[in-house]
Amino acid sequence: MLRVEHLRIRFRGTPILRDLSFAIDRGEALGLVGESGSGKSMAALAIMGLLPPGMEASGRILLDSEDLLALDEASLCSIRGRRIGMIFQEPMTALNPVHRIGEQIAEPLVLHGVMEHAEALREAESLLERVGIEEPCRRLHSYPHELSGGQRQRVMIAMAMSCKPALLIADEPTSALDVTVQSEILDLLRDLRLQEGMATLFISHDLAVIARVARHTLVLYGGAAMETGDTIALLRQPRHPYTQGLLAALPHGRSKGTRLQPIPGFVPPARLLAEGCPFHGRCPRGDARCAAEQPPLTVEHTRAWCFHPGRVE
Amino acid sequence: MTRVLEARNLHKSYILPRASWWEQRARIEAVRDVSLHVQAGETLGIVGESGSGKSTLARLLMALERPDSGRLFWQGEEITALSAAELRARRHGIQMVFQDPYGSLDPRMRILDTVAEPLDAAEPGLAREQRRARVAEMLERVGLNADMLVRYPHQFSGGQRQRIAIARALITRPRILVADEPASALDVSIQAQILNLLSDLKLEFGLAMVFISHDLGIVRYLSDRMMVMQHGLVVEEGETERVFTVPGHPYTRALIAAMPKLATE
Amino acid sequence: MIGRALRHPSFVLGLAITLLVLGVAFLATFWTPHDATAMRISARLRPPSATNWLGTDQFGRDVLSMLMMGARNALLVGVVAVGIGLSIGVALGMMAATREGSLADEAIMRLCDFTFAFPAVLTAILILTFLGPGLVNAILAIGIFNIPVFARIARGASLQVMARDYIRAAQAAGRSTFGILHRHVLPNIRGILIVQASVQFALAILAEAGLSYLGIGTQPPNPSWGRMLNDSQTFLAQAPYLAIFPGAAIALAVLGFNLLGDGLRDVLDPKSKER
Repeated sequence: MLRVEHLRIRFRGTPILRDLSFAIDRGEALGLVGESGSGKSMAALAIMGLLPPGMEASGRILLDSEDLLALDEASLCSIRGRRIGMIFQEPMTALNPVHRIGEQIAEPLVLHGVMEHAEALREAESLLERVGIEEPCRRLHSYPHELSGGQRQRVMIAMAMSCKPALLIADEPTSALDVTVQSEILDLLRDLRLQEGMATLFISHDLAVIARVARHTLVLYGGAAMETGDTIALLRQPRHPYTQGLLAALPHGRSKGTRLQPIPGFVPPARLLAEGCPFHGRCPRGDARCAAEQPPLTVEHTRAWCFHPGRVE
Repeated sequence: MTRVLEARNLHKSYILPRASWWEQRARIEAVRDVSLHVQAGETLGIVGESGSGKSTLARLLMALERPDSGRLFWQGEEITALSAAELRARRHGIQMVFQDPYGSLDPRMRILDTVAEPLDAAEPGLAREQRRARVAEMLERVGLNADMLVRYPHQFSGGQRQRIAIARALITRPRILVADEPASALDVSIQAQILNLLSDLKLEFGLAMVFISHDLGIVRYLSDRMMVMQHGLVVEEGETERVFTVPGHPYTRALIAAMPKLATE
Repeated sequence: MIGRALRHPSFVLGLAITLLVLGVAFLATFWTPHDATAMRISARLRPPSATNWLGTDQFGRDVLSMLMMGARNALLVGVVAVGIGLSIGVALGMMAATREGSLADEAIMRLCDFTFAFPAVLTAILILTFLGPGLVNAILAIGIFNIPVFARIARGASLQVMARDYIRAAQAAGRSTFGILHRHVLPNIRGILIVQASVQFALAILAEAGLSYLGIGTQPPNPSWGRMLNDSQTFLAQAPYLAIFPGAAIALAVLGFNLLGDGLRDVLDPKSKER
């Protein structure tokens, strides 16, 4: 029900995102994995029609067969919050510090004409209960600073879900939270997804978190898709050198004494990335062809865009 | 084995500003009765979530703040009651790497001066060329080009800034390094570079290290012994593998259970 | 850096105007077309002419000469008053920041609040009642009033800087508190102080004009732009140029210093990109 086709984003001629395509069905979750500069956050903003000025998007973003990129601002406004909900990384900055929680949750409902104010507040209370906030009746009148980080994130989820959107975009929703809280929030998101049948786009840099949340994963680097497929298959037997590099760089499950294998170098600025495969330059298997030509799609148990996919030597 | 760093019964609490005139001022006990020790060549991992007191503990160990009570020993010498000046004279033996690569370097100072700062305090009479040479050598050691020392922090990436911070921390060849979440703010692939660098330098310089993190995976990988903190208290400590395989305290168990794991584990 | 500086339009313009004012003031110490204090009633209220390029005032004094001497006085007021405020205020502010929450900090801040509670002019009047009127005392009064302004700003900015890790790193490296203030805090709050100084400079000039109006600032026959402006009110219909010239001079000087302040702040920031 969300179908992204050949999404390209450019900033003054420099490609920020190259030819991204994916689809998410109702009730499904797709994990978008990438480090800084991968373009993952830009993709989310493009879907919402919230790209910063200067950025141009092309391609098609189909939400239930309606192309979001072709819509004007007014139509997009009616979609944001209503059919697409979004939650961000930093709950404190996403919540207005001078308004009470109840008001903020009720806002989308009233804005989109779903309910009148009084009814919206009652709905807000039930939403608070649903997301696991204790004493929801009292909390309606609290201000954001009176809540902990985890609670604020729950409030954000309540806000995003209030109009029962078809699509939920979660951009690093747990990165700023403690591990135990993160665990609860991830469970909450999963429960809500199953109950409401929402499609979820889960963006993170953390492979372990994605593994927990998403059935399918797409790995981005330097604005281009590297590999995609069933999450477990991807993590067990990655075929793309970048995915392999990411996994090798993690200390999880590694015994002491063995060295981590970082990916050498660092992410170059967008304008210096190779024409062909952006990972060229840091890739152990890259050659001149990779730099010049766009890598082809190769399909096995995962789909990888690479001239040299395959097992680690 | 000598205890390079030792703390006994450290207490530290803060008084919060009043919320309103008629309320009592609240008191937060950030660190409660914490004792620890690190031996030469050892890495002690400290794990905790926000509010656990681990960052406060780091500052206490570095004597950047004075504890309300308790005793602190650097390389066997008690430093608890020393004056500020006496303390400054000993600071070259223990240094710190901070979490935020963007806040730990003075934006107005060249890298040369930033990295040389501990050196300036420890060896004030150093000639200019020598000072420059020492900084250059250290930068090369951490994997940066020596001719970068004339640049300013904003010209470097996050990972590079952490390398600079590490160079600064090690320039006086301290015996102890306190690393407070040194890689948390970095991308995964860069994290690994920094962690490898720390491990290598630790071996090369014979450092004792206190490694603070909220990431259990990294702590398990790096530390010989570890401590788990919650609400200012040490709820568990011991050899790392033991703590992970047979956790004693329910909080430790909860932390381990909550750790997102890769499907491959 | 000079090359980079010259590419900032506000810096260049501000510098140009400031240098112009400085130049005029400097020149005025040696030479003015006529004696600025000489009265010639027979030549009163003459519009701009060949002899008096900018005309004469109600006492026959040459406007241009008065304007030039006025520049000298305006600069003096601005520099010294702001200088007093900066040096004492910043020192107090940084000291308060290092002792945040302590009695000393509270005392300094309450003193600042106290000073702010009184309208500036009232405070100046109070001070001048004790000290007596005149340019020097006016400068002192304005200077005293500048102290809490800079103390406040310096304290706030210092606190922000001191919360950063690089300050902790400097402590860990073994620098003394004074060393940290000097080497790390001051350079990082410089920008804010400079901009504020340019604002205060402009305000100082305006304040002096106000005090002169009340007769307790610069005393006649010492020329002052402010007094010229205020004296001209009576003759606005007959001789509008008497108001225009000093008014324009004040506006120009104020603009110039503000632009210079903005430009300086940008130029000094190592992060500003080269155009």
